[in-house]
Amino acid sequence: MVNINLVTDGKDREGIGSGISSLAILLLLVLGVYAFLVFYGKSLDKKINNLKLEYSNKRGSLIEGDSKKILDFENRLFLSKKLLLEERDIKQDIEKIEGLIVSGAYLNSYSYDEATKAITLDCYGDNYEIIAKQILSFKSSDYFLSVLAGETKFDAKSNRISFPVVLTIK
Amino acid sequence: MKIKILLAPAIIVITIVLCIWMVYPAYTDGVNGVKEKYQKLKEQTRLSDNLDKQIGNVGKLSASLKANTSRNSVVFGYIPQDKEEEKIIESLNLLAKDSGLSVLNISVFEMKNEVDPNLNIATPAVAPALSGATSDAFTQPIAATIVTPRKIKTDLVVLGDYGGVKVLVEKIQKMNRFNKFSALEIRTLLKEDQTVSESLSVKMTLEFNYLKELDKLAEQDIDNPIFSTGAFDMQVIDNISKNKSIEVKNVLPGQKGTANPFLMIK
Repeated sequence: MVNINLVTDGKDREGIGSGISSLAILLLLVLGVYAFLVFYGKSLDKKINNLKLEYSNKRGSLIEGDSKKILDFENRLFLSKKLLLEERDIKQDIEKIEGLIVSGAYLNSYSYDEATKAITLDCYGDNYEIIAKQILSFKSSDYFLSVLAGETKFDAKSNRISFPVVLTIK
Repeated sequence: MKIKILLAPAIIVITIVLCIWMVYPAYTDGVNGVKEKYQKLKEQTRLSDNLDKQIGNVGKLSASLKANTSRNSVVFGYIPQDKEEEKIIESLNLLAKDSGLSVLNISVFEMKNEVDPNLNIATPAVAPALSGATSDAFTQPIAATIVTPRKIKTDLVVLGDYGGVKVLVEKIQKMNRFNKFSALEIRTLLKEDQTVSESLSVKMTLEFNYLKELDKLAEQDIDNPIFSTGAFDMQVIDNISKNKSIEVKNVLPGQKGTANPFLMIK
């Protein structure tokens, strides 16, 4: 009969005991970290809410103060900048046409439309040679994007030929 | 002894479970963990700092407005706060007379207001630095404030010679109130003997405008870049002053009151 001794000696018992203690400390540490995170999270919530309230109050005071006058003036500056660029020099258009009229031709009417940036001219000429020269004169100018000549008509009253021209400004 | 042997793995399991199910989610869960809250706090602090800066800028800008009242009046003349159609009529009449032209008609109409998509005030589509009374708002796009002046259409019909017409066109363009030629028609006139007269018939369609003062600021108006930059770009005032030298005339009210309003006072 072989004797088997299942009783552990004191050293093993101490080893298990200290191992459990270490694990218990680790568990407590984890619980401690968790508790810290929970409390820190709540503290952050409080700080965020305070900042939000402060932010909201400050924004409110900003809306009530001089900001209205400032924004009104800023809007006018912004619009003025844009509108100044929109203004066209109409006198320059007239003077361009003035400089391009050939001898023997004259204008019966001048019509400018801002929406299409087109000048419609109703011109008169003594003969077809002058009409051709007049159209060529408009075409030779780089002030216009396109030059469109229309149907010619003989005017018995003035004994001249009328011809429309549509000039599109660049 | 057996319990002690089982306790060790049990503690390990409990520790791991606690770490995975409680500690880590408390640190970060993508929405409401400490890590996210800390980010929110940082963001909110940044917003508050920016707002403080904006409040400081409002003080500076307000002082600048008060100090440059006469210079700033150029802008209020260019885009007035009110329609002031009486000034348009008076000015056009005087300018036409000064140009040697006869005025046949001056008509002023207010046009229907259209929203011009090009007139959006430059507010960033998303303003992370400035917007948001709530912590989530800094990710929200901000609707840009649209400022559209009201348009006034004015028809002016005059008679006169070509030189006078050119002078009038130039003078109108130099008026210190915004104006734009929408249309211009110049026609020759025939004399009784059917020959062409030197006098021309001219119809000008002009566009003026005005912009009412803001009633009150909207919430998103605070996010306008002017409150962050803290300085006005006054270059445009110099440009207006340089190119628009003819002042819009003030109208004098004259004698008022009559016993019979159906009879003309002379």
